[in-house]
Amino acid sequence: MAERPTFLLTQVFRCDDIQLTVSQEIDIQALQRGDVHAFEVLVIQYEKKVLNMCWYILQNKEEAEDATQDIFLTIYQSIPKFKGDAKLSTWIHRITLNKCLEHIRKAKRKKRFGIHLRIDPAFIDHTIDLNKNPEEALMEKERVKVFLESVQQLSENQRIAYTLHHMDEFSYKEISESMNLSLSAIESLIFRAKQHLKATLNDSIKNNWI
Amino acid sequence: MQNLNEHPFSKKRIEVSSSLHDMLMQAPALAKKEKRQTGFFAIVTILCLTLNLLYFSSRQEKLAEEELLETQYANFGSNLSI
Repeated sequence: MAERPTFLLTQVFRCDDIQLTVSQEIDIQALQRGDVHAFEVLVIQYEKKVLNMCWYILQNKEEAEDATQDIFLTIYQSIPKFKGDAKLSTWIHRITLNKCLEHIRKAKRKKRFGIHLRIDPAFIDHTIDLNKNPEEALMEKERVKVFLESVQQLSENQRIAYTLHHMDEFSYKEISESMNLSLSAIESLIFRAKQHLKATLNDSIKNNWI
Repeated sequence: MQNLNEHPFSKKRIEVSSSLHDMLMQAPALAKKEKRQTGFFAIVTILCLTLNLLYFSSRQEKLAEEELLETQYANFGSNLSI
C-alpha cells in the first residue's frame, strides 16, 4: 500500500478528535476551487461510509467499488455546484443513492438481455457469523440468500429505504433528506417493504429479521 | 438455538482496500482527463460538422449549376445570329 502523506493523517486525526464537527473540517470553498488536498480529506472521511452504502444496496463488491469510484468522481466534478442548502453529508448521500440506482437499473437492463446477475457470495459470507459451527453457518447462509433475493425484488425506493433503515447508521430524517422524500413517505416505503418481505419469506426468517 | 435476531444489514462493515483508496484519490486527475477528452471531442465534432456543411453547400451549388446545364435552356441563344 502506498504511504499516505503525513499532513493528511494529521488532518484526519484532528477531525476524529472533534467528531461532531467533522463536516465543518472539510474546506468546502477549497473543494470548490478544485483543491486536491481538500478532496483527499473528504475521501478519507467519507470513503468507508459511501462504500458500505453501495455494498449494502448493490450487494455486490465489484459493483460497489465501481459505484464508489463513480461517486467520488461526480463529487469532485459537481462540488462547484454545491450551494450549501443541505449538509455536505446529505449531498454526498444523495449522489451515492443516485449512483446506486443507476447501477441497479444498468444491472436490470443486463438481466433483461439474458445476463443473470446473482448475489455476490462474498456479500452472503460477509453477513453471516463466522463463529458458528459449519452446519449452522451453512443454514444461515441459505437463509441470508433467500432473504437477499426477496430484498432484491423490492421496488428501487423500498429497497433503498429498507436497507438504509437497517444499516443502523441512518435516522428516518437522514433517509428522507438523502432520498429527497418526506418523512411519511419514508415510513410508508419501509412499511410496504416489510409487508412485501413478510409475504414472501418463511416464518423463521421473518420472525427474526423483519 | 442460534441467534438469528441480528439483522444481516446491521452487521459488519467492509474496509476500503488500498487499491480502491488510491483510485479514489486519483479522481481529480481523472476528472481533468475526462474534461480534456470531452473538450477535444467537442472541438472535433464541431470541426467535422463545419467541414460537412461547407462540403455540402459547395456540392449543392455545383449540382445546381450542373442541373441548369442539362436543361433545354442550357444552350439558349448559342445558335442565334444577327
